[in-house]
Amino acid sequence: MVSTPILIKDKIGFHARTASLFAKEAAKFKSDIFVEFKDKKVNGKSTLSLMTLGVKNLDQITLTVEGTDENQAHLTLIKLIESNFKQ
Amino acid sequence: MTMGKVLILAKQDKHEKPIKKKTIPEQAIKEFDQALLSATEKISVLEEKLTSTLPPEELEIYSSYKAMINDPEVIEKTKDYIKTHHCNAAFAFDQISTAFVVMLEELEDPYLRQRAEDLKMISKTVLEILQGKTTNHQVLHSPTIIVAEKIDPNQLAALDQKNILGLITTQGGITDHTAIVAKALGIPYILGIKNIIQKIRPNDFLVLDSNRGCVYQNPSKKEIDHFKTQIDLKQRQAEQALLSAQTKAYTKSSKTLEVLANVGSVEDAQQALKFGADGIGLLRTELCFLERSSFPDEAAHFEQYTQILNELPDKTYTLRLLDFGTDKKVSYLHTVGEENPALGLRALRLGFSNYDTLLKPQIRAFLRLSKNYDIKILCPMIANNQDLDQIIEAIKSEQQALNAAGEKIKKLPPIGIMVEVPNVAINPQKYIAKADFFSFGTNDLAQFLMAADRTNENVSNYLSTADQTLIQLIENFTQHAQEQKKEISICGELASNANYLSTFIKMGLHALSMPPKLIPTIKAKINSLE
Repeated sequence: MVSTPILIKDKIGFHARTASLFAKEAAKFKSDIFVEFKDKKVNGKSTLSLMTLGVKNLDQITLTVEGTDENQAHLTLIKLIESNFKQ
Repeated sequence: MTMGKVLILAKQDKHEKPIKKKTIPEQAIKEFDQALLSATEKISVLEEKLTSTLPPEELEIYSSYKAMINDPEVIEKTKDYIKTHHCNAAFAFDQISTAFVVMLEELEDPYLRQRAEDLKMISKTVLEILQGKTTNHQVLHSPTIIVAEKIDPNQLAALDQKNILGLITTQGGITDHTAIVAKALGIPYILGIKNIIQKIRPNDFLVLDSNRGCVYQNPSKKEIDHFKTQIDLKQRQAEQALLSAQTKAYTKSSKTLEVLANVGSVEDAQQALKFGADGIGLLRTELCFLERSSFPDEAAHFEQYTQILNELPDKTYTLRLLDFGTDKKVSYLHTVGEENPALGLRALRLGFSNYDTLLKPQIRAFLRLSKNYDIKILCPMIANNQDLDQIIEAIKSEQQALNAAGEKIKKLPPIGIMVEVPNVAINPQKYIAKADFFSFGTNDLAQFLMAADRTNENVSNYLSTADQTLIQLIENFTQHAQEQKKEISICGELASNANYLSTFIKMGLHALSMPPKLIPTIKAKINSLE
């Protein structure tokens, strides 16, 4: 299992576009992917769940990945967030 | 304006609340999977139907609808619910999706709360399929004015558009997606008339005047005739205007100015041609590259502009250097989350801070285009003389570099200033000599003059009160410019305000640039002036 805190720097946070980009990327991996924010932990492959977190600009989330391809998945998703959701 | 018989659409939000029934889980899950497939298909059909009428950024919403239908968390939770409760798919799905709607509605962010409405609509589509009510859309047998409590964009798109004369709802406003779809389909509409549904009876005859926001119920024969004449007249005027827009407009005393188009895509350029633009007065180049995932290189710039300019052959074209950094966000530009982006690192300020990736390839593409097209380069957000010197220097040095590589660009295209910063607008004498032409960006200038953010609805009423000041500034500028014969034009919203047309002509403005659709009306008005 890999788990890291990370800062969301996108201006609006996890809104429809960024949440769906994240979920789409997450869905490419076999591992279970979770995003935790303010005591709520949700499935990172679900756009709707990510939106319900209400993550805003400069909020810190925790990304947890567990499974056979966890390192690759973790790296890819961190990169996505750090690049401000560039595809 | 439109008239016709009424059809009252039943309140469609009231789909039957599913009742819990005992079932075999495997079968319910199979039904559920099938329903998700059908719902996705249904959205694809609607998307297809609107592909040619809606702009790409509005169509994007359909991808997010499909993602909502296929959300793994909703699917998994629904299936778990079916398995543990041995219940029907409709009930299970309703429980889960409602929980998500509630969670979204509880969020502080108004944008995300709006997504709750999207999810409700999507859930309704899935539930209708599960409840076997897929054929419940209203069939329109003859041309009708639709009156409804509320209509979502999907319901609107699903109706037979040939038979929709107009649309009236009690809920909804001009900024919601239904309005965008109605506008794209060319349906006259008035949204948000409270209580209208209680006042209208089936088969009433209505006249809908969407310009005035009026509805006339069961007018007399005489009134109907009167409206009919107006509608016919409007139609003939529109046809006539389109026809006469194809040539340059002159007032009766032979005064003229160019009526140009604001464009941001190949489609816009096609519209510009159709509606009789005398040229492109503002190519918003940043709009050409919103969809990309990486910086456009010189070849991408060159190719994109060539495509656009070729749609409107043998005209003059004013190309504005990229104005990124405010409301338009792109994935390849790292934004720093500024407090006031409209006053921040945008346009050329951003261009120079990313010179090699952003500004340089664009300048080079412009210069290469200038060999074959009659282009002018418009510089956005010039705030002082240093800004102007810096960009002129950059263009000159790229010209030298290109010529050193054998391009042979003999003449520099005219370089102009987008007058949108008050410091420039109030000091024409400091800039007239240096720049070749001036284009007033009245939208940004108004927001800076009034200290009112134009993206903030709470203060937008200030912007419309800036008109007189804007006109004074433009007039002052033209007086200074005439001595040196420099061209002045307007490319903001003020340009298409017909009330000021005679003033603009009197000032001796060179051109007005506006959305293509407005050109025929403005040209017709010019032709009618003394």
